[in-house]
Formats: sequence, structure tokens, C-alpha cells
Amino acid sequence: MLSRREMLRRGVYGPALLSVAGLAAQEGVEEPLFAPSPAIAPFTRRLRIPRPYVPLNRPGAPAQQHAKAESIFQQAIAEGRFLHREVPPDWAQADYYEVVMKPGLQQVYPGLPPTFFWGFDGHWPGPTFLFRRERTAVVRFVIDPAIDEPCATHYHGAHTPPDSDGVPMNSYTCNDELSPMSPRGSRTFVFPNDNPFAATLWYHDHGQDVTAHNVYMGLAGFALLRPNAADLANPDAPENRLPSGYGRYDIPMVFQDRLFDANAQLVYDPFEHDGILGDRMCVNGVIQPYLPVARRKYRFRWLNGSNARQYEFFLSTGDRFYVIGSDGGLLPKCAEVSSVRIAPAERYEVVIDFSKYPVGSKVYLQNCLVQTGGRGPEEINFSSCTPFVEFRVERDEGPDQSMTLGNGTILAPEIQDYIDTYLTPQGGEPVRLLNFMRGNGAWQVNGRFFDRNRVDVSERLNTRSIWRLVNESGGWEHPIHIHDEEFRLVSRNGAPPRPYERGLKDVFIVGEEQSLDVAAYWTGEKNVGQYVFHCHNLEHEDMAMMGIFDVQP
Amino acid sequence: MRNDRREAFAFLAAAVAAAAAMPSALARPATSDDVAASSAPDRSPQARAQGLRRHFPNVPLRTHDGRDVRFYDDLVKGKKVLINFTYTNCTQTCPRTTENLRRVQEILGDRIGRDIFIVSLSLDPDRDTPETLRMYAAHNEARPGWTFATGTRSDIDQIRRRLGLYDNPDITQHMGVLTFGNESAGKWAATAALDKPENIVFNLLRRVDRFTFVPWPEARPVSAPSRESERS
Repeated sequence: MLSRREMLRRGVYGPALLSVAGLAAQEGVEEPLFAPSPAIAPFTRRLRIPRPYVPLNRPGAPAQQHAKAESIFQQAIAEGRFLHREVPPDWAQADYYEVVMKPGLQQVYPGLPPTFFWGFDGHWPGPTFLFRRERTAVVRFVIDPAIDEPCATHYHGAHTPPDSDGVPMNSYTCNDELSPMSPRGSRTFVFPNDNPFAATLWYHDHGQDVTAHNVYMGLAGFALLRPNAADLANPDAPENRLPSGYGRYDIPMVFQDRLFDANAQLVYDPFEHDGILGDRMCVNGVIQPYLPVARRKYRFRWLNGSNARQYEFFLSTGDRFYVIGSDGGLLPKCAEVSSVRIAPAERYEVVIDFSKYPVGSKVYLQNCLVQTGGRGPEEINFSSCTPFVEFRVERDEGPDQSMTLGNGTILAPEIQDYIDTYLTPQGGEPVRLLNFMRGNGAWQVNGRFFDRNRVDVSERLNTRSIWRLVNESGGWEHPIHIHDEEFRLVSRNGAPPRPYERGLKDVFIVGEEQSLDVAAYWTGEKNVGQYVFHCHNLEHEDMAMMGIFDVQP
Repeated sequence: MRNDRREAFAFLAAAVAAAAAMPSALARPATSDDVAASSAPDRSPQARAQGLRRHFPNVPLRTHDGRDVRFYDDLVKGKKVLINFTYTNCTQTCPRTTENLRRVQEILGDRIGRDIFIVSLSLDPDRDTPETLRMYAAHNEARPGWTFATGTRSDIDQIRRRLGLYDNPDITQHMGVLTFGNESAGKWAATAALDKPENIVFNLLRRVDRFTFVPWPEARPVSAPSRESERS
């Protein structure tokens, strides 16, 4: 344990302060800009489960909501959101939502003022979309006038036509009127939800120059793309046999590290270009919550919603657990692990079986990966673990009907087939070399800065390619996210990926001096046009660590 | 599908019941304690700007045109400003950055010095005296509104750190990044100093003037930026 004097000398004040204080310490005295967050007793607040959205046009909804749904449809037509079909769909074949980005107040610290944040519908995290695969959703996202930055909502991981993909270049503000049918400050997004497989996706703001700030302030939430009736037709399908019940035994957890001031207000530094770290570990907007659990299996959907921090999660007991899913869907085969490394924007679905613990036990989910700066993690240090969640095993509920899992249990043969058919190099695929570099402190891909008018990679529908993600930026790790599709990590520095990285993914953490081969296959007649790929360290993303790819028939 | 709505409503009903049983578990309507503590922080532009002042140390500087100024009070406060770091003996990125800034100055025309300002801070105070900087500014045809300034090494380094631009004590390896913002509005961003001048101007104006939606992708017409009075 470092003495206070040693910490001062080294500039180690806890994760938030390295970049300024740490570097300053090399030169001598400089007061750190930000004090550590106020202390708070852990595990005295229960984990919150974000509430689900309900469509405006559901049967039985009040007439006023149905009318609003129809106005959203008209707005989407006027904004040209149905350009990829000749005729707009029967409006009743989609679900309609209206979501307002607006400020909110959350009692994060007992006894201190409530924390001001920005949230979808005024919630942090945003409410959860419960989408069905192949059921179109049309969402009007409205920017409340109190939100004084540009916004664009990105449905991360979804197979979405380009103009509904929510890229910074299409940001709008509370003052913009995008069409005669568009209420001021609003824009529609059409989500066909036609990914080939169900997955734990999410949505977050992607505003021009301010993505890092807007997400940090609270604009992020889950979007669960769930299997449809056809997917579930087989009663033996794992999706029918895994722990289920949103908020009951199927629980989303978004991990976000945050820094608070003495009045419990979020502290954000727009000049911290390395990547923002916080020192208070929030799960679904609650600092170090507890969750009562029964002695049975639970399915957790984990999302690293941090701007820059990576985690490696272990159970405090050292017991193993099961990874059953990654960014783009179930893993073809269950991976039994003692820990999972999760980088910003990655999702992993896990099953933890609490039946081995007696009632009254407390089991902690803890992060043992040390990271003191935005550039990347340092090392795993078991004497430096931070507990995130306290699972309180508090009741018996009788035998657990969910499927038995073991290392290698087949979960998704259809995903394995898809990988074998479309995401396995056959030889002769074009290789897109993407070298992520730092040019005099600014980010470059292949030696060039981002240019909104320049296409960096050209792809064709129904073809395979390999994206070779190379990181020679010297001392940085970058979680690279590619829009539009789900992909497969073929190799990392020539070696196979970790067992839980062998499914579908859309975020790839490229470490120092690493080269990752990612297999891609481009689909969908509506998914034609320009998309982006970028680093998901959000401070890097705001500094245009990004490129454009174009998919043509 | 019906199951989703049933599940969503079951969830919401359970949440309401849980809230009744355990008020602290969920976000709840404000109580009188909240109202008393209720300090939704002031999010006015003034408050935002005030909150960011720590990033602009008010250190003394000497400009190329012989003025003694304070960094924040005289060069930043109330302005739309582009800030970069350079030094006259720099042979690598600085000449190209300065050339870029000349082009930016050209494109922005008489907005430079009216409501948009460029501040170039020297990393080499021993060699970059105000006289040296005056010659450098003249050589680069800097208009009034583009200020070259020098200060003590440690003061300049403090500014660099506060702007997140201190990467390396070796000044030959300094970061080629332009920080720009609208100080009164508390809105800042940064971009590559070696990006195309047209791109720099595009990004600058969208951040310091009022941001408006521009459809993408679309070939951006290359034209002179509107005067500020045309943007209400």
C-alpha cells in the first residue's frame, strides 16, 4: 500500500487523476485538478434495474399515444427514413417510441444533494428497450432544451440502415427542425432489428465532439434484441432454457466509473484527451450496490459503459462462472472461466450459479485489473481488487429449471454455422489494413486524420473481408468498434482468441503492438451507404479516432 | 409480441410495489429534503464557463506585439479562441501547423480579431522572446487577433497540462493539437493541428458558433463561413 506521500509524489490519487497529476509529478509540484469523490459506504443501496420502454402503439394504449405513434411514422417518412424501401411499411407493423433526452436528479450519495445528470427520459441509465428480432422499431429521440449540446443516438451493435445509425456527423440540437413534420429538436430513427441473432445491445449518445461528455453525463441504456417466435420455436433451444425474466433472473448490469465532487455532482474534464477515469464504481447508476439473490442460476448481461476503463471481473470466492454470450449473441459454446476481461462498449452475458452458497453468504463481483490512466490498464493485482456488487444469497427457491451448463456446452449451433459459412477466411478475401496511430498527439488511421468527406474502406454486400486492426500507437490500448454488422475475431497476433471471444463481436480491444484479424461479412439491401468505425475510448472518439467505410451492392 | 408487454408491465408493477416497500431502492419523487438540498447545479453557460476556469491558469505572458497580458483574462475570457503550442525553432510539425493556421486565418477573414482569436504559445521561452515572436508573426502575416505569446517554461507547461496537451517534456515531441472553444459558452473541443484547414474551420465554427444540423454524407460545399450576425 503506498503511503500518502508516495502517492502524491507518483501522482497516484486513485484512478481519476493520473493524466494530469501523474505527469505533473514527474516534473514536480502541481496540485491535482480534482479531489477524489466523497466516501460512501458500499453495499448499502440495492441494484436498480432499468425499467423497460413500452411502445406507444401497443394494444390498449390511450388514443393519445396511438396518435403520437402515427405522428412519429409521418415524421419518419418526411425525414426520408424509409428510403431503403419503395413504399413505407404498414405503420402498424412496427413499434413506435418517443424518448426525450433531458436532465434528471438521482440520489446517489445519501445525505448529499441529488446528482444532476442527463438521461434518456430523465433516467440514468436509460430505460431498457425490449426489442424482438425482426420487429421494426421507430423511435423519435427528442432533445429537451435544457440539453445544450448536439446529440445523436446510436443503437450499438444493431444492423441498422446508415441514416438511422446515429453517427456524430448527423448530430442535431434542440433547435433543429429537420422536416416540416419534425417537432423542433427531434429526429426519428428506424431500427429494423434484423440482426441475424438475438443479442445484448445498447444505445447511447454519439454527439459531435461531445460523445464522451454526453455518455458520461448518463446518456446510455440497454437495448435487448430478443429472439422472436421462430427463434424460440424449438423448446430445447438454449434461449428457452436459460435463466429468464427481465429484472428477475435475467439482469442487465452496466458498469461505469464516475468521479463526483463534494456536492455529489458528476465531474467531467473536457480537456482529458487520454480517456476519463472515475473512482466510484457505478452499476446501473448505483455506487457499489447489493443484489439479493436466490440459490439458483442467474443470467447477467454485462456492459462496460465506461469511457475508458477496462475491467477484469472475478468472483470473490474464486469460483468459476459461465460466459454464455458476447457482443453479438450467444457464444456457440459456453466458456467456463474464472474471470472475464471487458473493455469499453463490450458486452458479455454470464451465468452465475448461486446454489453452491448457503443462505446468508455474500459473494462479491470484483474488478482486479489496475488502471490508473486513460491509455490502458496496467496489470491484474489481486491485492488491489475493487468490489462492484455484493450478491446476498438470501433465499432458497427450490430446484432451478434452467439448463445445466459446463465448459463447452453447445449454446448456439446456428451461430457456429454462420461463423463457419460467412466469418471464416477461405483465402483470397481482401484484407483491410487499419493501422491506428498517433500523429503528434492526434489520432490517425493509416497515417491520415479523419475526414467526413473521405471513404477509407469500400466494401460490397454479400462479400467477405478481413479487417486487420493494428495498434502501433505506442503505449495505448484501443477498443475498436465497427458499425453495421457483427464480426468474428479470427486471431490476435496470430494466436487464437480467448474462449469467450469466439462468438460474434463488434468491439475489439487492440492492445499495445497487437494485430487483430477480424472477419467481416456485409449483408442487407437496406444497409447500403456510409458507416463508421472508431475507437470506443470515448475521449479518443471525440478526437476523431475514426474512419468511414462504404458498403455498396 | 405480447410477452414483451406482459413482461414489461409485470416489471413496472413489481417496481411500483417494491418502491412502496423500500422507498430508497428506486428513483422517487422529490421529498422536502430534496427540495431543500435541491441544487440542480447551475447549468447556465456562465456557470459552465466558470467551472472550466481551472483549465486556463491566469499566468503572465508577453505577446509578440509587446503587451504584458494574463492568459485567461486577456487572451481567453469571453472569446472564441483557437490555442496551439509552437516554437520558432521547431522544424517538424510547427511550420506546417503555422501554415495551416495562416490558411485558417485566410478562410475566416475579418472574423479573426473581431470575434475569433488565435493564440500561439511558445514552448521555448529562452529563444522565443517577444521580439523573435514579432518577427515570426510578421513573417506569417498574422493579423491582429492572432497573438504569439511567451511566458516562463513552468507557466506554459502548466497551461499545457491543464489543456490535456502535455505528453512529453521534450518540446520537439510536443502534441500537434489545436484546442478551440467558445469560452463564454463553456464549450471546447480539440482537433489535429495538421488537419486540412477547411476541416479545421468547419469543426471550429460548429463548436464555437451555434451548432446546426448538416446532413451527412453530403459533399460539403466549400464556401466562406457566414458572418456571425447571420446566425442568430
